[in-house]
Amino acid sequence: MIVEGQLHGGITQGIGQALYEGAVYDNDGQLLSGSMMEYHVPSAEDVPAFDLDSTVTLTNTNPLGVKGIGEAGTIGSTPAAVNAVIDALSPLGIKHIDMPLTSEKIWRAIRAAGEGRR
Amino acid sequence: MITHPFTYQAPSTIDEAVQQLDRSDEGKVIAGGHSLLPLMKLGLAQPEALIDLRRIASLREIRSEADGTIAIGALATHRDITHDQTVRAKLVALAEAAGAVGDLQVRARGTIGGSLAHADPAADEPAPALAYDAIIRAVGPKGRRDIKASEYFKGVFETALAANEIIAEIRFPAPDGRTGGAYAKFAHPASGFAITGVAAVITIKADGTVERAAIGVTGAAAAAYRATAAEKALAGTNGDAKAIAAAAAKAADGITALSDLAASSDYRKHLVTVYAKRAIERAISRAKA
Repeated sequence: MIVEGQLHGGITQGIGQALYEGAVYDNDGQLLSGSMMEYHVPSAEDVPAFDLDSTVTLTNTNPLGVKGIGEAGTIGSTPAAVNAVIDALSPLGIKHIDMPLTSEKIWRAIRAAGEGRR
Repeated sequence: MITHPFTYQAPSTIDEAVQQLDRSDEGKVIAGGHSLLPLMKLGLAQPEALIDLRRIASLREIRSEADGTIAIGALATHRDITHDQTVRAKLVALAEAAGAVGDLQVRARGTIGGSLAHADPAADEPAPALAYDAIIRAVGPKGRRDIKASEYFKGVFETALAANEIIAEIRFPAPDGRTGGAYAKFAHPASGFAITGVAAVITIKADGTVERAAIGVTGAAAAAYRATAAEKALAGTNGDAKAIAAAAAKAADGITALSDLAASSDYRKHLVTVYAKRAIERAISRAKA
């Protein structure tokens, strides 16, 4: 239960980095994304249901053989989310968009790709 | 997060509230408090006096009048409006807009009168108020004044309401028989405010042609507006996909779009056309149903 919950949180955190979370500063160094009204941290309603699986390999570094779980979910979810977007856009020749992949950045990438082909 | 000091009054009639507001120096009316209190906690609003409308129970009523007008009390919460059967049947774009406000807690406390008086450019309910030709009925020291929605929204947090007037109710004329409405919103992922919200109210003739189109847009410009170029383009057409696309493409014509972290002005204009298309499509299919 705890491990599953940690994985849910980690995967969601990774999706946040991929799609939403960016610290934006203006030219004077003022943080613009300075409140939770601007900086979106995804919650359960922003993410799909997860199917979880795990491999069990005991570690030799402690007597119980246990490992931390923590933010392990973040490791895969950020590239998975970004790669899914890039894969969807690949017919347009789009190979890269800087994170976070906000809707406006994706729209601009699609427009730029369209203009390049004209 | 500590507010500037203020006095607090909770009168039991609107006339009393108007008197207290008129007599006060830098007084503010409070209803649900979901816009005003955050501003006060941030020090962005520092009213000397708060006049709380919560004891004026009659202001929360939603009633149908003999001529079909639906009068929504200023204190009706977004949640009251979303769940009201008459609103759902006759003013579905308003029901959808109220249901799209903030989150459950905000909808349970925040009021339509508060939303219209505050006039946040990203508030939801201004769009259906415009599209349904609502009348904002205000009460001031000199009595009652009716303001058309089309003449009410002036700019960012700016309305036709005088500093000593209080909104009593918002009056929605009964739409004609074959009328469908819809509200389509692109919400800010973090705040839930409308980056773009479009309310479409479409009346069709028996033969299916569009008799009248009213399109209210919020979130995109300093003040909510009627997309008149899109309305004209849609009226008289057969309301098919081509006509809808052509009309929706004009929904941001002539505006100076807002630009912020969430959306630049040209992206906002693009969103207006996309969400206008969605709202018009749903409104037409409902008008035909």
